[in-house]
Amino acid sequence: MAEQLAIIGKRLPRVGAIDLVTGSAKFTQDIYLPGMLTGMVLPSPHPHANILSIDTTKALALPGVRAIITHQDLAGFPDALFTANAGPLKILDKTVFFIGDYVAAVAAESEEVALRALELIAVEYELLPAVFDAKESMAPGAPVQKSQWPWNVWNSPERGQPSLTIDKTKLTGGNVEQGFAEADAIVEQEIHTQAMLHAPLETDTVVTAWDGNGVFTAWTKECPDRMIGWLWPILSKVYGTPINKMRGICHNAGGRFGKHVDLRVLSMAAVLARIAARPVKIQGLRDNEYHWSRAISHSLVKMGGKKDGMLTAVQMKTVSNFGITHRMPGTEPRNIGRTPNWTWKCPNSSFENYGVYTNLSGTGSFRGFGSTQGHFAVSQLCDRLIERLGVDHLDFYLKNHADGGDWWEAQKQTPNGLDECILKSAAAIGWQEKWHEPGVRTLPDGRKHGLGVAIAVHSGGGCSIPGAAFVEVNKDGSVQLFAAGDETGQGVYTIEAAICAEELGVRYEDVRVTRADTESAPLASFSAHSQNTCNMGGAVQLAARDAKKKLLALAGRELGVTPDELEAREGWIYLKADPDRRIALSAVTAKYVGSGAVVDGKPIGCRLDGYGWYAQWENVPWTPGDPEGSLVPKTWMCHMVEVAVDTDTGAVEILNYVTAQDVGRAINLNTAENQLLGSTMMGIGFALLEDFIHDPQNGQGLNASYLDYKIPTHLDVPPTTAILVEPINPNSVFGAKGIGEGSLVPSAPAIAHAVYNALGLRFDSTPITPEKILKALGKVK
Amino acid sequence: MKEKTATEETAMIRFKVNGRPVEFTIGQQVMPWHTLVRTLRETLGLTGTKTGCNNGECGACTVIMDGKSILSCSTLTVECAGKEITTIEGLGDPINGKLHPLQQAFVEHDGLQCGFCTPGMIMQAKTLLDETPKPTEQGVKEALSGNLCRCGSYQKIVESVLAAGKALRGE
Repeated sequence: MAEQLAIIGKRLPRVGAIDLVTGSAKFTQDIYLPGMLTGMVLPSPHPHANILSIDTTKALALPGVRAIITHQDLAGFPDALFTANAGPLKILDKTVFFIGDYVAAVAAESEEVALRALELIAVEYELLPAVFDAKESMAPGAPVQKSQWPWNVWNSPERGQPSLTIDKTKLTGGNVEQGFAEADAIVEQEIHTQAMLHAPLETDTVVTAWDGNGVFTAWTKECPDRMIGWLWPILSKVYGTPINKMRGICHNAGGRFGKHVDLRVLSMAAVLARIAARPVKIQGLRDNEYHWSRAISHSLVKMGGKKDGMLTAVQMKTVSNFGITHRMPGTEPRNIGRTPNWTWKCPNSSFENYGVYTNLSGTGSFRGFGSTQGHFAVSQLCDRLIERLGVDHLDFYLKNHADGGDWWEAQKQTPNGLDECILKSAAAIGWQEKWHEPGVRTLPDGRKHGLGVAIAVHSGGGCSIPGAAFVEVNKDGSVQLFAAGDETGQGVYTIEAAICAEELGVRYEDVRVTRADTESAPLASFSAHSQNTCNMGGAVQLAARDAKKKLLALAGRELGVTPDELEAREGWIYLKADPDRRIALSAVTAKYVGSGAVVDGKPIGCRLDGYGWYAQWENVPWTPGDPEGSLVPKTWMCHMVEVAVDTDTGAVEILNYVTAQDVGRAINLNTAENQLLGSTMMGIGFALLEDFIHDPQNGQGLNASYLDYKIPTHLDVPPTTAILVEPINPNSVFGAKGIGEGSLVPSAPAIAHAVYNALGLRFDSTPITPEKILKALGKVK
Repeated sequence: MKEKTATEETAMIRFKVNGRPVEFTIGQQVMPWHTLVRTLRETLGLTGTKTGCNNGECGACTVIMDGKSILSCSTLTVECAGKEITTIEGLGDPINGKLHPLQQAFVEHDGLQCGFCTPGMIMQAKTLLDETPKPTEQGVKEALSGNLCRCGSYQKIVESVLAAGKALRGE
C-alpha cells in the first residue's frame, strides 16, 4: 500500500545532482589521463567507393603522430557487431559506404597534429554507384550494399520478400480482407516520417587505455557491460583479451536517447591505444553525430471500422531506410509493426516491413524505438477513420484500445492506465468545452485554433538483459550500492538508491550508489528498451532484501523476537505489532558488522552484504521463446494538445499541452515528471522542428549542427501539465514501469491532429513545418 | 632564422579565474588559437565547463567574463587578458562548500536530467539574475534560449531559476 512506503513515490533530490550543479561530475569528455593522445578519424568524401590505395607514409613521418590505422592494418579483424543479425560491418573496410564513413584513424600528441596527419593521408578511390532512397534501393538494378542481401532488403530471402512479417502467434492474425469487407468505412494513406537525430549534448566520446598486464579500460557513454559485450569478440580474437581484463566505466553520459557507442570508433581507439601504448581519446565531433539516426520510414496504412466505432481491420506495410547499417535490424520493424497490435483490440491485423540498405549513414535505436514511426502512421489513419465514422474521438480510443483482455497473446498484460490517462487529460485540457469541428474556430488574433489527441503504447521495460547488484551495509549503518546501471539522465542511480533504501529500511541519504564501473559492480542491465527501472531496480530490491534478512535476524537477537516479527524503515528496525519497540539499524550494525556473528550458518564479515540477480523471465509470467510477449510491461500514454496556427506565417504555437502516462508507479516524482516532460519535448521536436536532411545527390547529411538542425529550446516549451497515472504493475519492482521513452511517441500524432483540427488540412509527413503548412494553404509553391 | 625578440620570448597573458590569478606564456601553455574552453578544461583542469558543439550553438560552455555571459568555445584565451572569468567551479562557497542559491534550486527543483548542459545553464542564469533580480517566466526563457537541453528539462529549469531568484531576493 502506498502509505506504507517511506521513500518510493516522494519528491527526493536526484542522486548525483550536486556533482552536476557544481561541475564536478565526470563525463567521458572530462577524462584526461596522463600521456593521453588525441585520436581522430578520416572521413570518406564519397558515398560509395573502393579504396584503391592508401598511403600513410607522410602522415607517419609527422612529428607527434603515434599511430595510424587503415583497413590494411585491420585485415582479419572480426566485424563490429551490435547484434548477431546486424550484418557485417568492418571496423575499417576497403570499401566506403557513405559520406563520413571511416577511412583511417590517427593518434597524435595533439589535436593540431592529428588534424594535420589526416590531411597527409593520401587515398585513391574508385567511385561506385550509390543509392539513397529506400524504394529506389529495393528496385531491380540498384547497387548492392551488402553481399548477403543482394536485394538490399535485410533478412529478405528473395527479391520482393519483406524483412519481417509478424505472425499470428506473436501479434497478428485474423483476416484483414474479411475485416475490410465488414467495415462501414475504410481509410488508406501512405505516411512518411523523417530522419531524426539523437543530438545529445555530449558527443559520442571514448577514452581507451591498456596497462602492462594487458588490461583494457574504456570510458564511454555506454553501459560498461554492454560495451564489453560488443567489443570483447574483437579484442579476444585479436589480442586474446579475456573478459576479466576488460574494464568499462561510465560515470555520467551527457544524454544518449538510444544513440549507443559507435563500436567501430571504440574499436579503433582500442587498437590505436594498443599500438601507441598510450591512452587515446576520440572526442566525437558535432558534425559526426549524424552517423546514427532514426530510420526514415514510409508506412502505407489501411484501416476499417464500423459505425458503432469498432475497428474491423488494420493493415500496415512499412519501408524503412536503414542507411548502410542498422544496429538492431529486427527490432525496429517489429516495434513499428506491433504498434497497431499492441494498441488495438482489432481482430484482423497484418503487418510487413522492408528494412532497406542504402548509402546513407546508419540507423538504430532511438527513444520511442519504432513506435514513433508506427504510431504516427497509424494514428493519422485513425483520425481519418474517426471522422469518416462520425464517432467521438475519446469514445473511439476508450472502446478500441487493448485492455489486457484475452485478445492477442501479446495483449495479455497487466492492467493498464490508459482510460485514466484519457479521462484525466480531457479534464485537464477542457476537451469537451474546447472541441470543435475542423477549421471552424478563429482566435481573436486571427490565428486558427485546433485541438488534438493521441494515444500510444510502448515497452515499459524490456526483458532482454538481466542485471545484478550488491548491497553492503557498513558498521555505521551507511550503505553502498554496487549497481552499474548506466546513468544517461533518466535517473537510474536515483531509482536504484530509492529502491535500495525502501527495501532495506534505511534512509535515502544513507545509500551511496557507486558509478557504473565493471571493476566494482556486478553485471548490469542497461539503459535501453526502458528496462533499467524494472531490471536493475529488480536486482537492487533482491540485493537489499538479502541484506535485510540478515539485519532482521540480528535485530531479533537484540529485541528477543523472531525476524519475521520485525520490519525496517528509514533506519529503524521495529516490531510490526508494536512499533515503539525498536532498535536503530546503526546500533545493530555497530554491534554485529565485523563481529563474525553467524546468520544462517554464515559469519557476518566486515560488511553486511546482499546480492540480487534479476531476470524478468524468472519473475514474471513468461512465454518461452518470445522476447516481446505478454510479460513485457507496457506503458500507455495519452497526449492532448491545443494549438494556434498562423495562416500568414505557417507557425504553429502550442498553447497548452497535457502529457499523461501510465507509469506503473513513480519511484521518484521529480525524475518521473522530468522523463515525461523531456520525452514530450523531444516529441514536439519530431513533430514540428527536427528534420535531418540528406543531399539527394550524394546522401551527405546537410544539417548536423544545432544551428541547422533545430531541437526545441526554452522558447519552444508550451505550458505543459504532466499527469502520472499509477496502476501498480504486479510483476515489477514496487509496481514500476520503464517510462523514459513512451511520452515521445504520441506527441507528433496529437500535434498533427490539432493542426488538422485548426486548418482542416492533413499533413502526411513529419515534421509539420511552416513551409508545408503554407504550401498546403496555397500560399507558397 | 630570425631571432626571437625579447617581447616574443616573454609574451604572457594574465587574467583571473574564479578569483585567482592565472598566468600563461603564449606559445607554450596557451597558443594564439586556443579557445577559452580549451584552456579552462585542458590547462586549468576545470572540466565543469562543457564542450557540446564547440561552435557557439548550444551554450554548454557558457562562463562569465566581467559580469557578462560568454561562450568560451567562441572566445580565444588571448582575448581574456586582464579579465575576470567565473566558471561553475567558482560559484559555490570555496570555504564551506555551500552551494550558490542557483545550484541549490537546480537540485531541489530537479532542473536537470543528464546534467551536461547544467553548468552553462546555471552560468547563463546567474548573469540574468545579476542583471534582473526579479525576471518573469518569459524573461527566463528568453535569457536561457541559447542554452540547449536535449533531455528537455526546460520546465523544471525555469522553475529552478525563478526559485533561485526568490532565494536571492530573500523571499
